[in-house]
Amino acid sequence: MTKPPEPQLRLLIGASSYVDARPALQLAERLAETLAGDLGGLLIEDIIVAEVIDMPRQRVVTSSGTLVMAPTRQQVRNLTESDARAFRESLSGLAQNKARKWSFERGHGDLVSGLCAAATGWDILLLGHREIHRQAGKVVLIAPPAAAPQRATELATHLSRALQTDLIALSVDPADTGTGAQHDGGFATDSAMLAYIDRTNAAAVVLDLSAGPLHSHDQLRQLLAVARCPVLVLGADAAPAAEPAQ
Amino acid sequence: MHALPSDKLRRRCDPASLPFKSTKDFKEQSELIGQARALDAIRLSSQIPQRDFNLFVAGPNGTGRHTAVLKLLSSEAAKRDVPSDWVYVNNFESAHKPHALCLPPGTALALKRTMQNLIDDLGNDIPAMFESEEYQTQRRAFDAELGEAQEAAIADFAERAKAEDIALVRTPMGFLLTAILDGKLVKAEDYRKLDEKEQAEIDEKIERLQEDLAAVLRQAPKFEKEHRKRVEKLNARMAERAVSARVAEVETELQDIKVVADYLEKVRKDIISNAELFLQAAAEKGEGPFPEAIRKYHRDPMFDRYVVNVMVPQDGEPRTGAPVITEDLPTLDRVIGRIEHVSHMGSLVTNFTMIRPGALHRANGGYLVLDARHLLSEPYAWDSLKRCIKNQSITITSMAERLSLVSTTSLEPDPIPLNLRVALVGDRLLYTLLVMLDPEFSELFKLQADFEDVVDRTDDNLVLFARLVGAFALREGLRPMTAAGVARLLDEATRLADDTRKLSLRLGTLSDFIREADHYAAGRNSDDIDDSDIERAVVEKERRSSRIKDRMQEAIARKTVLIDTDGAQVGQINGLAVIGLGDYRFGRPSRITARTRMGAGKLVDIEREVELGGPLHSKGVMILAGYLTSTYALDVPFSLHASLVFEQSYGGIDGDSASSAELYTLLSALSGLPIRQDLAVTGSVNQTGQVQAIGGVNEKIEGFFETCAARGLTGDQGVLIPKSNVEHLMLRSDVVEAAEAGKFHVIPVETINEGIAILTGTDAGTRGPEGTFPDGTVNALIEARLRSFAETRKAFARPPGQNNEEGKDGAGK
Repeated sequence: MTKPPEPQLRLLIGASSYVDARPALQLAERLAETLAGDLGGLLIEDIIVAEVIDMPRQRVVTSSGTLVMAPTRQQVRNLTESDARAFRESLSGLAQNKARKWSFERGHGDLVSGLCAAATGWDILLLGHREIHRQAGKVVLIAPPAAAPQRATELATHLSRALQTDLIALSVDPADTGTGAQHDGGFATDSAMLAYIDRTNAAAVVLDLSAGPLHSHDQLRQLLAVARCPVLVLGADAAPAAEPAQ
Repeated sequence: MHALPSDKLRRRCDPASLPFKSTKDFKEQSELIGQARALDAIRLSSQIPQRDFNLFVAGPNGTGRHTAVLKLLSSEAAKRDVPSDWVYVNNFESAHKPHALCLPPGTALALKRTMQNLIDDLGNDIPAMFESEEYQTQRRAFDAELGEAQEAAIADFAERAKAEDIALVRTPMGFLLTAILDGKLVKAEDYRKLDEKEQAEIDEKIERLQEDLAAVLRQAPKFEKEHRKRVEKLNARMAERAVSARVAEVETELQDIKVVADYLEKVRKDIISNAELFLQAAAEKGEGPFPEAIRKYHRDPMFDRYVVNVMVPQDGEPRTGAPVITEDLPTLDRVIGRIEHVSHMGSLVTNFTMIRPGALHRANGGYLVLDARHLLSEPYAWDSLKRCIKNQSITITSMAERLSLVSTTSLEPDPIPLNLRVALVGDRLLYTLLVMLDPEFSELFKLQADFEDVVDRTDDNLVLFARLVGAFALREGLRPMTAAGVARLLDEATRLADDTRKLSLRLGTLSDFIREADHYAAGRNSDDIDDSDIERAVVEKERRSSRIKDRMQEAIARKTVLIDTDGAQVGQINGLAVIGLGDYRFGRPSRITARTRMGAGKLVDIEREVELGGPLHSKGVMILAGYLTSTYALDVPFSLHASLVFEQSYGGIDGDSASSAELYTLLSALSGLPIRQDLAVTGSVNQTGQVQAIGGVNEKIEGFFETCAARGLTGDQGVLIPKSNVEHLMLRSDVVEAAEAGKFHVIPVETINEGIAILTGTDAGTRGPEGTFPDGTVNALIEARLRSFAETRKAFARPPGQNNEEGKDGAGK
């Protein structure tokens, strides 16, 4: 009996905290069964957190809806250390379980930019996002233009099967001059598409930054904010920080 | 000396006097004889409808008590209605209090099978229903609606925040809000550079939106709860369709029973609200070779809650009448039922399916027959039985629970109403003790069936007895018995009764003889049991049991135990004792001696002094002291000191049957006249000198006969027995034959005077009108001796005229 070929795609999981990394790790576990080869982990201490934490009367809204006083910088550092340990242990456990090579690093700076920069040499970048609710959603594909490579489509299809959930493909068609509303998954603008994603219960979003329609770090940042779920990014290393001015 | 003629020594039944040749002539079944009083009591107990007319069947073992009770109760039970079925089912509201359902006879097992089929069907139907496209579509729609509602809430908030230039920042602890100014996030240092008004505006927006975000996030559980309710409703709707359809298929006969209909409705509701059990069971696919469609879901422990635990089924072959139940091992559990436990994760757990019925459940509506001794020897069994009878309900309580030995989950099943009649079979001692010591006994067991152990040996009873033997042989598959065999057996029944006018009703012992005789008849290829077979059975039984007797006789023959069987001795006599070992008794002689001298009127019973004599023996000795003091030397102080002893006796002695022998030996010692040692004596005596009847007369005579026969019968040997015991004589054939040949004598006596004359060969003498006994008679010699003791004693007294002080000083000198 022929042994099935080992998955070859290298997967980098990035997050700014363990609570964001955990759903991504669960997704990675599914991908590791058939798709992902080497696994990487990167915890980026988001600079913006340190910069806004000192605001007077700053408070934190916990995921259960409780308002608590914002932590001090030292507490944030301690929490980040703890998150890093948890992230590393979970990743190593996952890798050992699936007999995969693994590596873990820590970084500092802007989350999206840092991850995109670190994605060089990795086939897929998986951005973590914490679970807002427990209701399983769909896999959302931001479909690349027809002429572009369809790697994202294949990945999204694979993922939807693995998660046994629906797949919806969204695309941006500037030729659509209507109201910007959805037409069979087609949107006239990026923002219309992002607005739609904002109200979609997604389990994961898959896109290819090198193929479009979203290309830049800024767009990826906006996507992560509205998707509120892990985002699988192909071609992350080639993405520019911002969309060139038209 | 008037020895009894041989025909008085054993009553023989003449086979020719019996109106049959063989018991095979009897066709009809025979009833017990001589037990009319007891049988009437049993019949009354079995028929009277009022409560607490329970029955205590008293009498000796082997009188046919069990057989008679079972036969009569079975006969009455056959006329009664078949009682109800009883089952325990789950109490869906309170599982530790299972419900008992009373069902028409024969429906319990049908209901059980119906429920099993229902669960098996639903095990397939419900998962199929939940896997259907109809259900899945609706369920996906609900899930999607929930997800979108939650996303929409967050999206709305995000829009509001964005509209107010506020951004959401994720941190390890949760979400931070910060202002956006000129498209950039406002950092702490930027914030400090703003004027107070701008800061206040930002603060106000952030504070408000923080509250909004908190509210949005807090909504998640509420959304989920509403979603769960919707899903539950959907599930219930789907399950209800499946369950209601299957419940409706239950046979109309069962549905028409109200308790069943009520139970099925509860089941229906419970299955609907626990439909996930069926999905769970379906998820655990069976690994057997059989297709899933025929999987027996009802065997899965998770469906135990729908089991019908049948306590009393009236199924099986078509039954008529009420049950008659016996319980040979009436422990608490076996009488009132029990609740079993199983070990689960180190704890003992139970549920209503582990309730097991007891004899009371099985006998409910009919009769329960228990052995009283067995019942009373089982801890808490009697107490629980009384409680159930008193409360007219069966409440199961384990011994561990009552003793608080085990702390574990237990149940409080519904008590099952009890309507039955209990018959306890025991001996009279138990009955007496229960009456005296248990005040509840007489209230709950109002009837006593007292079985006779003997019946009059009339001609009619002889024939009835023969019929009984024939019926027994037929029932047991034994050979028929010839008239001679029956006659021999009747003689043995008379011997067992210890009375020539009676027949023993200890059928147990007699039936053992018949069985053994049948074996011997088979050995000689005979079609009938004959008198020789019965005789052999009797002899062999005697032989099997007589080892100790033989050793004792051997000890006498070898003079290890000193017993004279010839000559004469002063103050020495052969008494007779009976030793009982179970149902075997034998007699043996025992030497009794007496010594006398002047004294202060004290009769020393050595057996009593060393605490080897029982109270009845002591009483006998005191009676003979009374005889002496009231018969001789009435005008002088009783100045005798005498001692009495059973020589070479190393065990306890009780009973007064040797009191006449003790008196004779005392009289011999006092008179100086020797007593014949070729005679032995038995009989008790009263203070007037009358010799009274004793027990075991046959064994006693045979015991002395064997001693004499071992040394050679002289023709002078014999035994003095009370005349009132003549009617009890049923001696062995060898003794009778010796008596016929004049080699051994059985001599009845009525009084001590009569006996002492025979033993000493000297007339006892009767006090004449002048108040004295004739010279040379036994009594004259005794009186003279006692008077001389008194005179001698008087001589020891202080001469008159001395003062008291001196008298005191001289006292005892």
